[in-house]
Amino acid sequence: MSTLVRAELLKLRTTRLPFVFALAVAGLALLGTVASALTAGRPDARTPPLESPEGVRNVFSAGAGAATTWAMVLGIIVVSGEWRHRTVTQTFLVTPRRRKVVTAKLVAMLAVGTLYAVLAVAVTVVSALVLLSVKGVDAAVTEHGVPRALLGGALATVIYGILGVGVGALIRNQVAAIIGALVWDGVANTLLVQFLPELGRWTPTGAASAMTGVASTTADLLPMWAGALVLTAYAVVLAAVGARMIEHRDVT
Amino acid sequence: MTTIQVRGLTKRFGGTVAVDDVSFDVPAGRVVGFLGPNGAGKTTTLRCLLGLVQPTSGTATFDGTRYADLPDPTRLVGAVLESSSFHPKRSGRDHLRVIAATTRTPVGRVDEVLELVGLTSDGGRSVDGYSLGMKQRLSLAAALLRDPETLVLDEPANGLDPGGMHWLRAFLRRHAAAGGSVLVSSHVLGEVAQTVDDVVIVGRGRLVRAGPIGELTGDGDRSVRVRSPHADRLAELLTKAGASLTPADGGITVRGITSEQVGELAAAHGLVLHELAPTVTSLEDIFLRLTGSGGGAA
Repeated sequence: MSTLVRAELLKLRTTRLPFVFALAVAGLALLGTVASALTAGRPDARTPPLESPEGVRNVFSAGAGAATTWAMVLGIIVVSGEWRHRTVTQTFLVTPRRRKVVTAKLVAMLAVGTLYAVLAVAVTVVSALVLLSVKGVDAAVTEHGVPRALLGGALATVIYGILGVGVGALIRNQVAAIIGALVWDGVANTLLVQFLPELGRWTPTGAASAMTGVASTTADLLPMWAGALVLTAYAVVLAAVGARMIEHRDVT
Repeated sequence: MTTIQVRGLTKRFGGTVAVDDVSFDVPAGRVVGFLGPNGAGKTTTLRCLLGLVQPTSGTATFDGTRYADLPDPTRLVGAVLESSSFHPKRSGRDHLRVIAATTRTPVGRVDEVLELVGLTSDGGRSVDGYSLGMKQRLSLAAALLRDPETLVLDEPANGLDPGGMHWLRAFLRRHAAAGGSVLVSSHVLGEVAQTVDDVVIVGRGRLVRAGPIGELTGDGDRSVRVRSPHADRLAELLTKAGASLTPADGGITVRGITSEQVGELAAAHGLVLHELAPTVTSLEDIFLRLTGSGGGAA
């Protein structure tokens, strides 16, 4: 199995995309942190002031969850890209036990998702500390539930990568899978979280927000542990159903 | 030594029958041409054999074992299925490195097969800069990576230049001579006629014929074309000798009698001949007739 995982990681290393996405993760983490710090305490945004514990936590959690989308999209591409470029023929010739291939991809995404999560957290911590000191707010990474927010964001990133593998296995058309997932996650779920929280809290996006713990005044989110469980359940179910579909799919 | 066995293989896609009850063998040490026009079911048959497509019924095995159940499939079977299944941004060498990593093959072997197919100097370039022929060579390099004894090649000649074709033919002959078996598909008989020992011909999903290529020519329509100013008299004599005649542009086509007999008969009766030509229908014509393609092939 570890041989297959290493081969999947080699596939990723021999293309540019994972590195481009890493840049995007770092950029978005920085952007999220800056935006969160600048908009803190603005009455129209209904966000808590920067000096409050929630304000400090928000600055950290905004960047910590910045990698989720990228991890998900890479997870989708790791599977659907095989169909797009028709490399799936070669992949299944070399490893006819398809379930093993899907498992190796899941483990590889677990590793890449962890790297993205670490990158996002590192960029976030550094930029947040700089911003807070510039704004004259005295804060440490160990206070105000910040460690929890960072850990939650990192975990959500890793699980989103798995979720992506599941989506990519279910929908073999890459463009449809990516656009579908982005709309579902970024628009549909976000709207639900905002306007129908009793339903939105159960969506993957709602669960991920619960994990990072962004203090939003409207959203009534699940506790962090419950969010983690719900998100993991989505990822496991999608990956299992996707793997099953791939096992029976004709590669023509 | 392995024998490929296809037994009653049938594959339906929705309402379309792509492969219909096809059976044949590829014995060890032989090169078998898998022939038929485009859409005859060749690729589907090969994909069933390689575990990529689930047959509706029937089996396609290597000595009774399905591809997916082989303990180490790429060690036993090398396959070339299509020339476009590469990540465009990955280099040819990296494509092979991924397969090597999956199969725990030493990276040195990657450079060996690149050399073997003549891609050493292009191995570092990304595949989107490759010509069709180069992609075909890269597919072949992937198939040969683990030096398998059985080769399954789907239209490997596509995109190869004459030099590449010549190399491929020689390679397949050497492979079979060393005891390996080869199943190679093509929609052009001429491409493989000089290389294969046996042919398996399919048309519209059904097996049309399977056997040594030498026997195929036996199906040929042997006839003698004769042209003579004394055609009427000659026709009378030939009919009496038991031949059947059909008029054909300015002359007659004679069947059931050899050209020697026609010549002797004409000489015995002092008849002048302007043309006496034994003809055998070409392999390609037989192929077209058997597969029912190429409309109006005589």
